[in-house]
Amino acid sequence: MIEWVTNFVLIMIGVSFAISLYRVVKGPTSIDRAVALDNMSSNVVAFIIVFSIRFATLHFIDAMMVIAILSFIGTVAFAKYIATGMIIEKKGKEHDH
Amino acid sequence: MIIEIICAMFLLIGAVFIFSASFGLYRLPDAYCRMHATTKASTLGLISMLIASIIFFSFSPDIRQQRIVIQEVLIIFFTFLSAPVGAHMLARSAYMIRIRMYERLHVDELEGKHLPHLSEQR
Repeated sequence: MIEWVTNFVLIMIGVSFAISLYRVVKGPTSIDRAVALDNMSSNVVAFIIVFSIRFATLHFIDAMMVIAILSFIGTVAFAKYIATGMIIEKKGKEHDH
Repeated sequence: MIIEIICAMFLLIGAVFIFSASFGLYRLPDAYCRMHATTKASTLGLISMLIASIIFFSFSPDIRQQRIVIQEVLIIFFTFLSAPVGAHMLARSAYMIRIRMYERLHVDELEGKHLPHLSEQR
């Protein structure tokens, strides 16, 4: 029974991924693209969980953590770049001018 | 058998929430509305799937797969911590670059106020 349910859930996550990809391609502003990419990374994490339940393996559990952390760092860097135009602020910039 | 039924129920709940998050991302009219849809529903669906994984691997009949569940708990904690922060930073930068709001929106609480961060960094 669990095989049928996990197959269905994998198909639903794939459809969600395709919808997010549509928003990445079409999205009017860059904020929409950042939000859609964040949603896509969350979908990838969910996909890996359901995949590891489907095939009863434990080898992909650590990849989930890496993807979750990297997606958060990417989102924060993207937001900061959109807002201020720089990601890492230099110290003592006032003294140069 | 009962473990499989509980696990399947959590998986279906999570799939419904993740699909509704992506459907809101497709359907809603505004960047702020899309952010509202994806952040909450996607986090809830992900956490439901992680609970299903915890239940499945804790009661697994194969002795090699029974383990102390630490990765899922870490991912739940980190998702709770990171999703609101990321959405808040995205919404803040969207307001800073003046993303067009929905036409039928008629309350903007930050309108006309002095925002020192906004005026300094532009």
